[in-house]
Amino acid sequence: MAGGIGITPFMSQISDLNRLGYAYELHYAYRSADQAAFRDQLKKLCGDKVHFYVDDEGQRINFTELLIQQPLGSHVYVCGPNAMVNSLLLMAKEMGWPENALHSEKFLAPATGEPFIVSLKLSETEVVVPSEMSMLEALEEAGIDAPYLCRGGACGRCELEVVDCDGELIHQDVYLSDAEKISANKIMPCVSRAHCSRMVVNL
Amino acid sequence: MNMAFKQETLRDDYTFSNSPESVRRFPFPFDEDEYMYSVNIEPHDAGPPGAVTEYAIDIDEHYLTECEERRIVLEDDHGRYVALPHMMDAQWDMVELVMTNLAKDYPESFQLTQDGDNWHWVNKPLGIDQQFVFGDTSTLPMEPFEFISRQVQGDWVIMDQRDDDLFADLGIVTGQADWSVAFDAGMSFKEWHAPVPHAPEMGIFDRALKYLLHLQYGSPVRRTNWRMCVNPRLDTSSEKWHLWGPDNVSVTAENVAEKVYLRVELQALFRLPRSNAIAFSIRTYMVSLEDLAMYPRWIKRLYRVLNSLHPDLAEYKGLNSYLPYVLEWLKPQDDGEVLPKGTQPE
Ligand code: HEM
Ligand code: FES
Repeated sequence: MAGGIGITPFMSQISDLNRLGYAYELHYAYRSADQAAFRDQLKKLCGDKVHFYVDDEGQRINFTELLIQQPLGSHVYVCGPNAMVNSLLLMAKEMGWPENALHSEKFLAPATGEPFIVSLKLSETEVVVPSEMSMLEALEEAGIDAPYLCRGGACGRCELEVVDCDGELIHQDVYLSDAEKISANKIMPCVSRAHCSRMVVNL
Repeated sequence: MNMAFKQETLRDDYTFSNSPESVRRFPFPFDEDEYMYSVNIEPHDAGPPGAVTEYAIDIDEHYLTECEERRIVLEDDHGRYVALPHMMDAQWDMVELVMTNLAKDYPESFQLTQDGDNWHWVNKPLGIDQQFVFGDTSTLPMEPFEFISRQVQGDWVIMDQRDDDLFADLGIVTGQADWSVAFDAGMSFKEWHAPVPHAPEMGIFDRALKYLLHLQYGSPVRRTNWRMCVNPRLDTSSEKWHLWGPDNVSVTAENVAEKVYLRVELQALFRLPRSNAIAFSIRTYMVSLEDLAMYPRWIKRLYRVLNSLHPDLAEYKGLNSYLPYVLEWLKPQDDGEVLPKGTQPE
């Protein structure tokens, strides 16, 4: 299942499945007819194995129905926006699909979400974190020299001290301990953000 | 890059040597005066021209030397190549990864023509000209991964991802630092890392594993690891300890600078598209202390790192028998100048 530009990784996979002669179905959802990347190519490659869903025209992939129809031992590969990937995985797990039959890739960084303002205490400036950018990206965009290494919430290099936050931190990293996450005075801006209007950090 | 491939030996008479350019591009691993394990993973983005990270897969002046060394090791012990049967898709992924990158980045040496599944591969330095059908093992002289891995520098371990863990199920390891691919085959991420001191309880492998499970196709990452060795010997495998271990006591105050090498592994990790496996490359660079001394900044930093190294790490890395000579040689070269953070040579 592909959503939008989440179709890209499937292009090479499809050629392989064809070569190996494996059975598959490709379900590809996109926003509008003019955003249907690879549509013609896919028609040629997949014939009647590809199904298109145009969001604008009210067409949606029905996950439950699709999952129920699959023969035992099938694997699901999904790549698309966060919400799509998460809801599919959740549904599949609830339906008892084994985890090793589920393969996913999110093309949006996990750090996307609602916009908020970061106020930098030491540099005395403010940066708006838009919804499609991580907090770290927004800082970089604003010319702030913020530290980082892995950009994936594991190394600890980007850690910032949260001085104040008028909402809730959404921790997505694997670096901070649970206790640190609950105490809400540290954040890893490469993957985490907040559900708030303003956060003050020591930077 | 001007590719003049040398033909040297990495055993017996050890004719291996680095050109000044090779020393300059050495991936010196220490950006600070102290070293401890950390989750030092970063995006494998293209580095500046000439850097070892300029291209996804680095080919340098030792290309022919290392391919020949691999041939020698495999001839003696084919067990350095491990391929579990369910990894055939990953084998073809590796053919694609290596061939497409080498042909794109080093067109004077490697060429690839793809007409659907009919591929034509030309490796000029090794004199290989091979037409084959991608996906059809019978059209290659050996298994696809062995075929391509004999033509690229560095060891490779390809990990299958299942049950939220990684398993070393495919690999070619002929130049490793005291471990064994035959021993680690089929093991999980934390199992093969168990011998590493302190890192498990620091949570390093927990975090690194979680990070790697989410590694994305098209966004490779890298890290460095380091060791030292006596003589430029790539094959310091556990299997061959009886051949290289005794050299560790051959170091003296007189020969330390030419005999002891800083050995850095540039490790890059790529998600593979068909198999969903992760390719882990271990590309080893060795520079003698003598050559490293071309850059005082590196020598001073190396002294400080080694002098403050945790004894358990020194022991694990096998440095104990010659570390005193190394420190003795380095010490007078450190004037105590404050070195800003960074790994650059100057
Ligand atoms: C996923 C691919 C990886 C493979 C196949 C791999 C393999 C190995 C092996 C075989 C060793 C030697 C263990 C021994 O003594 O027997 C080792 C050491 C080590 N690995 Fe990994 N590793 C991988 C990824 C990582 C990552 C992502 C990290 C990040 C922190 C890491 C950190 C280390 C460290 C710190 C050591 C000790 C090295 C030394 O002091 O020389 N490894 N690894
Ligand atoms: S950059 Fe590594 S945790 Fe954020």
